[in-house]
Amino acid sequence: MYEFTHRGAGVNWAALDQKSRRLVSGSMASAVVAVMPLFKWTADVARRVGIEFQGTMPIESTAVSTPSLYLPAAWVIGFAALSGLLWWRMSIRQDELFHRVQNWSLGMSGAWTAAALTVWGLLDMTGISPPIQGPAPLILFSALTIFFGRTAARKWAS
Amino acid sequence: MGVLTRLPEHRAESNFTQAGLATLVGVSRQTINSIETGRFEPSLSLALKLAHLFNVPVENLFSLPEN
Repeated sequence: MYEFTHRGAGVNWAALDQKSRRLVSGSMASAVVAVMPLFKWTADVARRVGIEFQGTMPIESTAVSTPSLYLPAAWVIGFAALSGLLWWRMSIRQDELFHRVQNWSLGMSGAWTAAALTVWGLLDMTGISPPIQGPAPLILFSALTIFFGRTAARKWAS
Repeated sequence: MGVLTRLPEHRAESNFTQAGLATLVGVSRQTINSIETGRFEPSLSLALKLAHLFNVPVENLFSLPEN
């Protein structure tokens, strides 16, 4: 059975049965592979922001070359789906404490992501903020899920 | 409003460890620990499983505070 810990990967490896270990390993490995294209996207955005803040270059030359996004998008979606599938297969083997923590963290992160995107969208409509950028919602949702997952584990399973 | 539990007393009387009891009712040791320390309230089905295992009414294991 899955047991939460409060450091490292957040799971007590010794408490997992063999099949759950394989599913957790596969899910985490797939998640790491899935986010690889996001590193390049994040680096490009950071570079563009840095150049614009520096203000030494004309705005046209700060544009980042954007080759076809289909391959990176397919890569992220494909491996994220695989990661989710393996995690789901692991999670259906777990008990109610695990589901309480997981459901609460997914619900909270989904609600906060929706709220943030609504505010972002409204600010974009008024011209205050730039448009919602490619994988930003996915990054926000993932970060919030980790944060709320840790919070829930401290609350119910410390 | 938290639920009061007498699970630790019943478990000690029956000489079960948390891990042993967890295996018998199909949950993790951490779940039993969280129930015993009052951080986690079990589902009705888990409460009934525990009551059945100790052969007591479920209200002997779990109850609401008086006020």
